[in-house]
Amino acid sequence: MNILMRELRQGLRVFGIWAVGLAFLMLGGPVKFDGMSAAGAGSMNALLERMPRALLALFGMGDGNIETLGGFYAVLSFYAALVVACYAISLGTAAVGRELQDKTCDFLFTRPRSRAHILAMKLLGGLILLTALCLLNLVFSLAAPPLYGMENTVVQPMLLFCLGVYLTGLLFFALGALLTVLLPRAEQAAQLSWAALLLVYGLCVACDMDERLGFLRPLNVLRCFGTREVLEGQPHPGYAIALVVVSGGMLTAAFLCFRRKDLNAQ
Amino acid sequence: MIYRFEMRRQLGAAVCWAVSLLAAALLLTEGFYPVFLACRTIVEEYIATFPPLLAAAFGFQLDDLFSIDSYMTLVYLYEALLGAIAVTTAALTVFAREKRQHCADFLMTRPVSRCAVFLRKLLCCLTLLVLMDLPCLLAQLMSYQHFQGTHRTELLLTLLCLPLNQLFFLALGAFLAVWLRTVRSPAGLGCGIGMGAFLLSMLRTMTELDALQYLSPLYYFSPLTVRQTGGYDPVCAVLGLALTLLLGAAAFVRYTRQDVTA
Amino acid sequence: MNVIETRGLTKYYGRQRGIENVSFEVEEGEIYGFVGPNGAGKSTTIRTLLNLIHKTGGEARIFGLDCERDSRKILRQVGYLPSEVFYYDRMRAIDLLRYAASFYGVDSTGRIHALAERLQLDLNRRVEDMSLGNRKKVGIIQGLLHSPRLIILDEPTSGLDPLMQRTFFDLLREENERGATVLFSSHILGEVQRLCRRVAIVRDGTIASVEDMAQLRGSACKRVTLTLREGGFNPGRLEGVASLEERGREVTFLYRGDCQRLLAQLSGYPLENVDITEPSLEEMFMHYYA
Repeated sequence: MNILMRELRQGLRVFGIWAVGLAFLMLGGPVKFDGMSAAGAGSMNALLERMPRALLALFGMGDGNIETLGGFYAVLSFYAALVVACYAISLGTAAVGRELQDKTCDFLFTRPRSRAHILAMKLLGGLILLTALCLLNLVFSLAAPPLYGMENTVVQPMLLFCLGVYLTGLLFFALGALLTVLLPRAEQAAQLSWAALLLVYGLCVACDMDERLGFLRPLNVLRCFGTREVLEGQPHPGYAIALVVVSGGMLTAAFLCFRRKDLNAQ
Repeated sequence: MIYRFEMRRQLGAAVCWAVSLLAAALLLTEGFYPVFLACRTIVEEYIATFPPLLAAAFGFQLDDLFSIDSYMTLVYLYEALLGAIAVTTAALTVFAREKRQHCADFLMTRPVSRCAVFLRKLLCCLTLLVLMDLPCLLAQLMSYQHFQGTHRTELLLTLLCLPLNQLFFLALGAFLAVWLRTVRSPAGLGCGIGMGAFLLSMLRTMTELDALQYLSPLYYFSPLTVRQTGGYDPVCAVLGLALTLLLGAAAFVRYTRQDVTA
Repeated sequence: MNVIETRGLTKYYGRQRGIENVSFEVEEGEIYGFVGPNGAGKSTTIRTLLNLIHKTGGEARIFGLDCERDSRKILRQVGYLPSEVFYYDRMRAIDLLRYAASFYGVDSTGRIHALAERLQLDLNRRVEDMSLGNRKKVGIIQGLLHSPRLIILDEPTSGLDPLMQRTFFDLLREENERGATVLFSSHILGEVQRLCRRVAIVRDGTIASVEDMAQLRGSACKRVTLTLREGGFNPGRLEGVASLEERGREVTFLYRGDCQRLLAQLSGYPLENVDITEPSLEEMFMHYYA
């Protein structure tokens, strides 16, 4: 319990910074939505549906129709996933690597607690902070439309998008933790994790721009649920389940490999 | 010696970033621009019915949307994101090296002034910036020639947007490396800063809030402004340069004057 | 000529006292000790001399040059071995030492290898993979490779085994015979006693006293150890007895005074054995300065 409390206390300041950033994005993002949706509703719909993907992608619309609240929120949610993924990587790598980088591993791992217990508490602390940020994401999402005098007609899609963001965060959290366990240096793990995120983002943009790259969709972890599926109320749970399974697998692997990891201050 | 030492340590990472920036530039221009061009017919049918508000929000002239010049302004953000992360990470690594490895005593008890150490590290970062950007900028220039861009007079200013904006991130990286008590992960902090700047820019595009342009360091020197006005926005440019100099000066002063504790 | 001179040297960390009014001189060619308990201000003094931290007040000069203004000129001729040895990662010892040597503009390759052989250090190993003792050896070599005029050591032997400590002290003596001045900070009084000509006792951020080792050794202070056949020991009216300890039949004490009176007092006891020796610096320190 003392390890968990310490993890939470240590992570509060950084959590605050990310929460402010997320608030800025989710609460500030819809400020012009009203203007966009007012500018010729019906024709815009038809227009945007026929707009080439490449053009939409360049303007950051991806597969979202920003003229509707749901579509606009889908675009915002994509960037929220990016924010949460960034935070998740820093949580995952820190959970395993902080003691090594701070040269306090001798102190902690010579206490009468098993490695598994210590790692579990640290990962739990990271998960709690990640979950808290995603809950804030949900709160901000639900709070934003009333803030601008709009009726929130997409509560269920918002819940699904928020869940998708959480699962994306979970995946990168597990990836960061696993890489830190496997690689000899925590900094290498951080570099690889961030490179993975940038690559995934690049793939997302590429898929959005060119339909021929649709086969890369399984790697598009920043969009857990397809926008159209969610807005039409028919989300496919398969991909989400796959993300949970992969995340769980990576965390399990992290636990198993951590038992044999050499703990040397870095 | 310090310059050579730092360059040797950072060259591998610089090459990786140079390759990444080059790959992104080639993919976006040679790879996706033809796809983008193929959409022209469809878009031309509907471009006249665009609501003026929407057209203005994205800030392009309807008749040259598909030129390579316009396209480069649209894809600039992705290059800028990679460039910002690369240079911030490099600056954090170079300036916080002794702090992270607890060997400041080793360097600071050599017969070299702290001013000289700082300047050599800065020179190293500037060299890395050039090394990382040059292939990408050359590729963009080649694509420009390949796709017969027409605004040659603005081309240099457009190409310089990336390195000029990166100078701000270099200064920011140096500032944080010197002023923060610990720098656990330069890669993490560099990516976080790059992503943060990227998201601010996306937010600015979505919200059209004028004030946000002053908080978008990726666009202090904006290729979009170069397309629209033939030059940089004077306020943003001065702001960018002023912040760069301020952060750099603050980093310099602290680096040369702070106590090196055991 | 004084190699090191300080006048009223003061350093405050905010409102926290570092050192206060520290004034001392180190003559050229001497080995000067700096002893004191933890937190006394030894490292703060040294780091101020090396311009690693900035003084709050007073003056500090090395080779007649100001420690802050002329630090670059000073450091050309100074070798420093810190108490905690951390170096760059992913570097072999030889690479690190070559990098260190490159700052002095001299070819130190021969000297590096000679010192490494003397200290039994494998130069091709990565520094981060070395034990503390071996990293300390790297530290010794990087401090001596340019044959400095002044060698400043901050607790240099922690981590070295006794054999290596002896080798290190031999090295220091050779450097001193070559003409180098040594400032040696330690809380291991035995090694200070072995090497130093003078020693400054640092306590609570100031210099409590400066003692000449020869005078200390030549002083009338003696360590007396008695083994009695029976009964106890009562110093009676014998003045100058201190730190009296009795363990069974064994009695030890420090004595400063007239030897004739001591022997006269002792002759009245049934003695099995008597030892009269020089007290260690530690004993004197603990008794007089603790």
